[in-house]
Amino acid sequence: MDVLIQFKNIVKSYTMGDITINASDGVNFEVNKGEFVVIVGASGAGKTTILNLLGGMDSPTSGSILVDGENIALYDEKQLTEYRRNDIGFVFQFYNLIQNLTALENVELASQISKAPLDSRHVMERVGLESRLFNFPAQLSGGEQQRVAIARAIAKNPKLLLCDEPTGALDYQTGKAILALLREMCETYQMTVIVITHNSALAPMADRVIHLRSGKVYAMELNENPQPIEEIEW
Amino acid sequence: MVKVKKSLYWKNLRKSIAKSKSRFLSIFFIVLLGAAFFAGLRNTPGSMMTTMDYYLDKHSYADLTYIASLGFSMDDIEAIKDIEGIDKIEYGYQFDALTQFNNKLTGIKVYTSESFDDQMINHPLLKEGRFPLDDKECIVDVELNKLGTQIGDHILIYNDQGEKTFEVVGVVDDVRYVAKTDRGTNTLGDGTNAGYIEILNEKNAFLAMPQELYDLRDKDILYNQLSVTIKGAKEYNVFSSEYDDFIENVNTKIKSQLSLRMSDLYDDITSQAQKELDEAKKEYQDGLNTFQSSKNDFEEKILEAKIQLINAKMSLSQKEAELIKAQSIASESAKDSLSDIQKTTQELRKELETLRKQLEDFQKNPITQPSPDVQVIIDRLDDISETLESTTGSLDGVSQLADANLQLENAKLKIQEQENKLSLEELKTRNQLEKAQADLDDGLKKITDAQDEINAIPKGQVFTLTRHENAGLVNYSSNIDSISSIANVFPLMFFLVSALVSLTTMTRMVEEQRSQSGTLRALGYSKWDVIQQYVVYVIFATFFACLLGIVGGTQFFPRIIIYLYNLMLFQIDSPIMISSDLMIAFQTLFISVFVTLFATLFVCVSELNLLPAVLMRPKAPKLGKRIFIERIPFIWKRLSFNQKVTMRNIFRYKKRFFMSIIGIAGCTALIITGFGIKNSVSQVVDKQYNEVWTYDAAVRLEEPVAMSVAKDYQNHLLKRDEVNNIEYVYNQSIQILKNKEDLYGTLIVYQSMDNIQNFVSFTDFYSHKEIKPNDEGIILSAKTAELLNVGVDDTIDISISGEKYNVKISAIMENYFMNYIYMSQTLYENVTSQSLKVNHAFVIMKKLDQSYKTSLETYMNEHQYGNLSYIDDAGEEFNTQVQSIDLVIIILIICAAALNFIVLYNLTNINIQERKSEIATIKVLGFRKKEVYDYIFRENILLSVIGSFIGMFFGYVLHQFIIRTVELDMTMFIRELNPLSYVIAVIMTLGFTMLINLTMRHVLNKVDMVESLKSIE
Repeated sequence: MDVLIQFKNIVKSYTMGDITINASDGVNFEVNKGEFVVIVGASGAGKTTILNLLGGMDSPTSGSILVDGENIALYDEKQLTEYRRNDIGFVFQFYNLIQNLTALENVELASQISKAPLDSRHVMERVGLESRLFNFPAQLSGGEQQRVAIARAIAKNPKLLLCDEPTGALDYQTGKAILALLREMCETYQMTVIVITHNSALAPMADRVIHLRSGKVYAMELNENPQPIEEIEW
Repeated sequence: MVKVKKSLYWKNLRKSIAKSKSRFLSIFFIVLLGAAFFAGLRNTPGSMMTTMDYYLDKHSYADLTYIASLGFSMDDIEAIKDIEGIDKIEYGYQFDALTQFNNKLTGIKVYTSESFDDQMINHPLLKEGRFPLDDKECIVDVELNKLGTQIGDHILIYNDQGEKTFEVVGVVDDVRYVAKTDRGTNTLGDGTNAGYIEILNEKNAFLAMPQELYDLRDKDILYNQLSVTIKGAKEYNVFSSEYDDFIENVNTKIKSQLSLRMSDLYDDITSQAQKELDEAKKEYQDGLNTFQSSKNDFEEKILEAKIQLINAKMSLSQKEAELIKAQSIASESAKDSLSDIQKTTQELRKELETLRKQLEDFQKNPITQPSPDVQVIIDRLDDISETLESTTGSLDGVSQLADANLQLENAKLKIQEQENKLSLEELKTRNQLEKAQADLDDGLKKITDAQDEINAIPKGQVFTLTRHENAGLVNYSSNIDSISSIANVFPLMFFLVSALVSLTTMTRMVEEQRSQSGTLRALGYSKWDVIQQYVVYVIFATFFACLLGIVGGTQFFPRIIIYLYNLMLFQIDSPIMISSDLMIAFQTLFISVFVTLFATLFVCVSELNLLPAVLMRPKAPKLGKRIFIERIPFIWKRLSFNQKVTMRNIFRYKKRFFMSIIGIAGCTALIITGFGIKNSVSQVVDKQYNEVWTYDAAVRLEEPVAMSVAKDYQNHLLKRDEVNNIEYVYNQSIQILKNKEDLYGTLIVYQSMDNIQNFVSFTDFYSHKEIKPNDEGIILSAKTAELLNVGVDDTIDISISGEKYNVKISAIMENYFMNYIYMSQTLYENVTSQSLKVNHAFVIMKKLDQSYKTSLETYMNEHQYGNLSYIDDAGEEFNTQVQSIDLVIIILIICAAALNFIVLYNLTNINIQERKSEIATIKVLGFRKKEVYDYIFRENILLSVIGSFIGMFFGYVLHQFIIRTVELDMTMFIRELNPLSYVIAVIMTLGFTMLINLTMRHVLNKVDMVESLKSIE
C-alpha cells in the first residue's frame, strides 16, 4: 500500500514565559492510503498537536511531515490554507456547524470551495440525513449534527479525514453509530480516516493504532482484522 | 458583610472591564462622541457670541452711534452729555471719499477721532505701525493693506468737499468691521468701499461736511458722528435681548433729546426766512388786491361807455329805419303819381292821336266826317296838367327825404368816431393791466420759490446705529442661528446611534455572562444584585465618557468652528472664548447616561427574568431561521451561495441590523445634506441670474416715461450693434399685504406678453412647465406665495404707491431672489385705471463681452437713455458669501465619517467576537484570507448599500429641513436635491465602509483556528 503520511522527528515546542514545552517531542509514524487510523492517548499526550500539525493549522518547530510526498512542514500560511482546502476534511468534537445555515448548506459551504467535491445531496443521503436537508443545526440532535459535520468533511473529497474526538459530545449509542459511519465512509470513498481520541477502547476497530504518550509515539500496531464497532463495548 | 460585598463588586467590575476592553471602549467612545457632538455643537453658538462679545468689549465697540445730517454742535453734545447711563461720548466724522488704487477709482470710508489711544471708543487694533499723531497721517484697514497700501505710502482722498493727502502710518483692524471683505456701500464712485481709513478730527473737518452746512447752522465746529458707550453694557452679551433692552433704554433718552434739538434747530433756521417770506406774501397780496379793484373799475367804465355808444347806435339805426320807411312810402307815392301821369299821358296821347286822325280825316273830308270833339280834348288836357301839378307836389317830398338821409349819415360818422376813441382808450388801459398782472405773477413765482427753498431746508435727521445696523455683526448673528439649528438636529442622531450601540454591546455582554449570572443567582444573590453589576458597569463607562465628551466637545467644536469662520469670513482679533452652559452639560449627561442605562436595563431585565437553572446552562445557539427573502424563490434562487449566507446573517440579528442601517443611513443623510445644502445655496445665483432672468442688463430711467417715448428709445437702441432685444417695463417697489407684517416686493408690468418671456423665464414652480402669461391675473414668485400661503386663483392685496389693489394669482413661478409680481399692461391698466408709464428696461445683448458692454454703457450715458447695469456683476457678490457653506459641509462630512466609523466598527467588532468559532471553522475548512474577509465584510457592504439607500430618503428630509430653516425671507434656496449629491453621498458612505473593512482585516486575521474550536460558544 502507498504511504500517505510520514511524520519524521516532529518537534513542536511552545514557549510560555521562560519555560519551553515540547508538545510533540520527536514524533515519527506513517499512515497508508485508505487506512482507518486511531491515534489514542491521554490528555496532554500531544494528540491535539498532532491533529493541528496534520490538519495544516500549525507548523512544527522541526521535522518534516510528508503528505502524499509533499512536506507540509515547510508550507507557508497560504499553502497551508490550500492544503486544508483541498486535502483535509475535519470532524470536530463540537461539530462546529454554522448555525445560520441549513444542514445541506453547511455541506455546500465546504464543497463549494473544493476542487473536486462530491455531490452534497448524495453525501447527505450517504450519512442518512436525506430527510433533514433543510433543517438548521439547532433543529437536529447531536448525532445528526455530527453526521452533517462528517458529510461536510467528506463532500470536499479530501485525501484525509481528520476526526477530533468525534464522539466526545455524544451519548454512547450515537457515538457508536458515528464511528460506524466513519468506518463506512472510509471504505465507501476509499478515504484515509484518522480518529483522535482518548478512548483506547476504540483501538480494535482501527487498521492502525498509534499510541501517544508525553509527546512521543509510544506504540503503533496494525490490526489485520479490525473489529466492527458494533462488537466493541466500553 | 456590606464591605465585603462592595469590594467584591469593584473587583468584579475591574475584571469585567479588563476582560472586555474593546466592549468597554466601544461604549465609552460612542458615548464620548455623542456627548462631544451634542455638548460641542450646542455650545458653539454661545461660544461664537461670547467670543464676539469679548472682542467688541475689548475694543470698546460703540453701543450706540449717532449720525446727524445737519451735524452735531458742541451744544448738542452738551445737551446729551449728562444723560444717565452714558459712559463715554466721542465725537468725530465719518464720510465717504474716493481714492485711486492701481489706477482704479475706489470708494473708501473715512472715520475721524479726536485722538487715538487704547481707551478710545471703537479703538482699532494696530497690526503694524502706529496711530496718527498729526492731521496729515492716517491708519488704514488691513483690507487696503492687502490691496497694496504700505506704511509710508501717501494716499490722496477726495470728495465733493475737497481733497487731502495722508501718509499711512499704521495698519489696523477696526472693531466696526468684523466681516473679512464686506466694507459697505459708498455714495460716490461705483457704490462700494474697498476699505476704510482713520484720521484725526483736527483740520480734517472740511472733508466731512459742506461749508453751507456751517453757514446754515451758523457754527464753526460741527461733528457728524457721535459714538456712545453705555455704562454696564459690557455685562451683557451683545447678541442677547437683554443687551438690546438695556441699550434701547438709554438710546430712547438720547434720541429724544437729539430729536428735540434737531427740530428746534429746524424751527430756528426756517422761522427767519419764513417771516421775510410772509411779508413778501403780504405785499403781493396787497398789489394783487389793488390790481383787482382797478381792473374791475376799468371794466365797469368801459362797459358803461360801450353801453352809451350802443344806445346811440341803436337810436341812430331807429332813425335810419324811419327814414327808410319814409323813403319807401315817398318813392311809392311818387311812383304811383308818375304812373298815373304816364297812364293819363298815354290815354291822352291815344285820344290826341284819335283827335288828330279825326282832324286829318276832317280836313280831307270835312263834310263826311263829323267834326272832332275839341272841347273834350281840351278838357282832357286840363285834367292832365292838373294831374301833373299834383305829381310834382309829391316829388317835392322825396327831395326832403334825401336831406334827412344826409343828416343821418353825419350822425353815424360821429358815433363811429366816438367808438374808435373808446377802443383806443380800452386797449391802452388793458395793456397797462396786463403788465401789472405779469408783475404780480412774477411776484407769486418768487414767493413760491422762496417757500420751496424754505421747505428744502433739511430737517436735521439723526440716525442711530446699533449692532443691528452693523452688516458684519448681523451676518455673524445669522451664522450663529444657522449653527444653532444644525446643533439642534445632528447630535440627536448620535444619541440614537449611541443608544443602539450600547444596546447591542450590553446585550452581548449580558448574554456572554449568563452562566456567571446564573451562578450568582444560584448562590443566592438577588436579581437586582446581578443587574446592578451591569448598571454600575454602564454608568462607569458612560458617565466618565460623557464628562470627557462634554469637556472635549465643548473645547473642540466651538474652537474649530470659530477658527474656520475666522479663517474664511470674519476677522475677530481675539482669543476664542468658550462658553459652556451648565444646562447643556446636564442635558448631555442626562441623555447619554440615561439612554445607555435604559438600554442596559432593558436587556438585563429581559434576560435575567429566567430561572437561575436555565441561566446556568449555555444559551441555546440562536436558531437559524429562514428569512423572508427565501419565501420569494424568484429572488432567492438567483442568489449565489455566498449571497444567501450573507443575507441570512444580516437578518439574523435585528437589533444589529437596525443599528447598522440607522448609522449608515445617518452617514449618507449627513453627506447628502452637506452637499445638498452647498448645491442649493450656490445654485441660487446661477438659477436666478441665468435661468430666471435671461436678460443681460437692466436699464433704469430717472423718471417714468410714456409708452410712446419708450418706443422711441427702444427703436434707437435696437439699431445698436450691441443690443439684441429690449423690453420696457414698469418696475415699482410695492407692498404685499399680509396679516401681520407686509412683504416688500417688486412689481413688473410688461407690455408684450410674448416679448417679456425672452427676458424672464416664467416656469411653473410645481410642474416646471412654461407659464403662459395672461391678462386675468398676476404671476407670483414661489417664495412669496409660500410666505403668504396662497395658491393659483387666490387673490392677494398689494399696495402700489399707497393705493391698495386686489389682484388674482394666475400662476406661481420659480424665482429665488426677493418677491416678484409680474403683471400685463392690460391687467395693470384695468386694476389701477391708470395708463402705463415705464421706468425700466430689460436688455439682451448680442454678445456679452467687455467691449460691447462698455460701448453700450457709454452710449446710454451720452444719450440719457438711463442707467445701465449688467446682472452678471451683481451675481458675483453673492457667490463670495456662499463660501461659508463649505464650512458646513466640512463639519457634516466629519460627522458623517465619525458616525459611519463608530457604527461599523462596533458592528464588525461584535460580529467578529460573536462569530469567532464560525470564522475559525471556515478558516479550518480552508477558506482563503480573502474569502474569510468577504464572508464577514460582505455583510457590511450589503448593509451599507441598504443603509445608504434608506439614507437617501433621510437625507432628503434632513436637507429640506435645514434648507427651510436657514432660508431667509428674501431668498429661496433651491429646494431640489441634485442627483450628484446622492451619488457622492453613496460613494462616500461605501468608501467609508471599505475603509472600515480594511482596518478590521487584522482583527479577522487574529482569530485563531485552534483556540476557537475548543469551546462551544
